[in-house]
Amino acid sequence: MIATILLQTQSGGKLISKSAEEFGKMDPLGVVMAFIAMTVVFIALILLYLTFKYVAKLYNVDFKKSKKKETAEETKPSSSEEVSGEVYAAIALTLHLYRNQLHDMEDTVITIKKVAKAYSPWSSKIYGLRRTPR
Amino acid sequence: MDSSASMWTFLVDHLNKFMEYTSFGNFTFGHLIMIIVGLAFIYLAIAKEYEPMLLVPIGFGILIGNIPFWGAEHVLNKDPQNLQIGLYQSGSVLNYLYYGVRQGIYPPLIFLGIGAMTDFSALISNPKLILVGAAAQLGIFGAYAAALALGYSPAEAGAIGIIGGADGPTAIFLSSKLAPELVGAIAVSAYSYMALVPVIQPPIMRLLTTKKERVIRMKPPRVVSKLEKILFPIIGIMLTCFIVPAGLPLLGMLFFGNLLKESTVTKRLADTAKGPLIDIVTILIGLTVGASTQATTFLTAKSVGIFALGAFSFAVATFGGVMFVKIINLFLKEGNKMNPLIGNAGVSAVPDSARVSQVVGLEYDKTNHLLMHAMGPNVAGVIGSAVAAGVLLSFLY
Repeated sequence: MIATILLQTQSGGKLISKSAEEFGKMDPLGVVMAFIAMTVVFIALILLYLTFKYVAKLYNVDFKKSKKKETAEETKPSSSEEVSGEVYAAIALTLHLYRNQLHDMEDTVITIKKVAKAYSPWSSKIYGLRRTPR
Repeated sequence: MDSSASMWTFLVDHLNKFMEYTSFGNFTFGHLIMIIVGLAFIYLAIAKEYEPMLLVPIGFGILIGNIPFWGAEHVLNKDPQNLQIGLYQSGSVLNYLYYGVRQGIYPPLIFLGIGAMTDFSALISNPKLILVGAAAQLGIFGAYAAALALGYSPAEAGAIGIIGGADGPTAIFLSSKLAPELVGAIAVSAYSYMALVPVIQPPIMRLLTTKKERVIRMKPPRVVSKLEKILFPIIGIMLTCFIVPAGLPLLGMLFFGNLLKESTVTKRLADTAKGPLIDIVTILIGLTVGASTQATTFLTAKSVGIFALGAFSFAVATFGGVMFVKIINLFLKEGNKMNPLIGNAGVSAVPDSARVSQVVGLEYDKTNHLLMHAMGPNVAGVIGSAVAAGVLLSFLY
């Protein structure tokens, strides 16, 4: 980094990266860069792939059962004549949800929420009574 | 008589001087070409609706940047002839706004907004699709090798190669670090080809696939739980940035924005990130990148080369994605195979390339909707191109 700054200063502010020049000399065709960089990109994304492959398995314990049911139901329609309006509705809903960036697991309970309030003496019965009950 | 003659001379002299200050006095053929390019961008955005959010600011920025004026070459702050008008002139308003591009400030902010508006469900439900996003990054390194062959320096080649990632903010971020003088050409090239994705990709997709492959039906994506969605940005940043810390500004902001969205408890922050914040930054980045394409600095042989390499990189990226799906299909059982038409979506032009998969898929089977499947590689491409940018930065900066 310091070398880069020095190089910049010496070249009148124009950025000349020494490491880039050295890399260019060592790999004039760019094949080594392509190989290394693609490997790194793949490693990073393969790790992500493996993680989520197993996260899904761990988290959705009952996933396989429901998946079998779903696939059995969904393999029925094979041609355009057999596709029901429900399928089109489901596709339309999916696209609508996607375009509106909505979650498919939204909490839809928006009413009857219990509200916890701090104690207030204003509504207390004890201050409204003229005599203390025996 | 003498006084009227001297008055006349005085007027002529000052009119001549005024003429020198007007744009007509400084107009060149290059400015004309760039103004036509700017008008073409505005036309494509408004009439054809090609990426209007980007092409309108960039197109208008090109007009701003190519209104010629006297003393454009005086850029230093201490120079008394610096009128502080142009983008490259120290102290001008445009110069201050351009600071965000030069220092790579705007792209991470855009990534924050992208994260807040991206739903990674398609990816989480079928993690195989992540790998398609990795394969499509071949375009970056294909263009890097081609740029080296054409005589560009390694740093310039790296900056040009990233056009193949089809991600404007990433291209601006990397080129501002590796080749600041090429930011304008690279950004304009990247955004132009992103707008032209529906034109570039379909012929390549048709060329590389058979009729049988184009009608492959993929399993519908499963429902993804909220916990998985929350875990994705957290695990995502850990895995990608521990390997490529240079990608932290982009990936960090992307995953942070996504956590704001998926946590569902920071709705206001997520709304700001994907709404007003990204809009403001898009305006600033589009306008200043457009204005940086001044004819004197932009119309060079290098820029022409960058445009050619940009087209090449998009073609290679599409090739990489489609071919990767075909290769993966060799190892998958019947019923689990992927439709190769989603391979093109690995280039991260979100959501245009996924839309191309859907449109081309429907041409061959009107009931086969590929959009949801294509969104997986599409968002994986965003991560992949940011990782690739990090790798290039690590090697070439």
